[in-house]
Amino acid sequence: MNVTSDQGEMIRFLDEQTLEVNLPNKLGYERIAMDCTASFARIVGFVPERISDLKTAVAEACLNAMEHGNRGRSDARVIVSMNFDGQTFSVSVMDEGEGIVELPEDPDIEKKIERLEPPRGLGIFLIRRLMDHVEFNKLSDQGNMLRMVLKMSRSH
Amino acid sequence: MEVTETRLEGILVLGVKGRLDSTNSEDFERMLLGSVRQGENRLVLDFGELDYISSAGLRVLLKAVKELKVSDGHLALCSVRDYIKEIFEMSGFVSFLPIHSTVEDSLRAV
Repeated sequence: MNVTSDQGEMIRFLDEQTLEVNLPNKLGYERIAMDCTASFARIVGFVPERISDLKTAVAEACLNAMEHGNRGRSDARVIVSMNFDGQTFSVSVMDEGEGIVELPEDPDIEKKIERLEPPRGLGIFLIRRLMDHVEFNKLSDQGNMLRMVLKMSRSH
Repeated sequence: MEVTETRLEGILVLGVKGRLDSTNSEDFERMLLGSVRQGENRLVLDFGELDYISSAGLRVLLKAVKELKVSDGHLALCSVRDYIKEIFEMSGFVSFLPIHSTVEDSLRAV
């Protein structure tokens, strides 16, 4: 079953192992991606703690795509594609923008407190801490893709 | 998100219920930093009914700690759920933001 909106299909299965969520570029809509990811991960057997990690990482990646990738453009979309291959769960979050050149370095929290660094970069920092693998790619036509991989059990 | 204000032993305790994310972090920032700027320099955040915190929420806490540092103030968290506590531990926030089991413990600490 696919779910449609004015913008077309919002949620659809590309195959039995791959689900795609097409979101408007609007703060708050990342919760749809969080809930879909959590449901999918629960069905394939992930434990609640790992599902919590996944939800937080997906939300942060969506917000990053909306705010920095798409730069808040109301006509842009964020595509979240998730796949389970039997061992690992991968989520790709794609935007349409040119806003990101590369992933920022992990912030120095102590420096942030000492006012030497602005309070930015926490979202990507959290994603890196929660996921087993994170990579960032420029899409060939336009946009960015953040791909995250989660294993059944924590590797760190 | 719902925030309730209580004053215990002269210390402002903000109880946060629901989700603290990008949709309401600005409201929370106005509330928390507004209190700090009005002179509250000992505060406790009761997260016992907080379901979720995103980086936008963490950012607000970071700003509050920075402002309190200037006035030699203190901020503590209490009753934080396990999963949210894990976010604070993973992000390194526990190094400057103490987490206590109960409101009473936080009141004694700030």
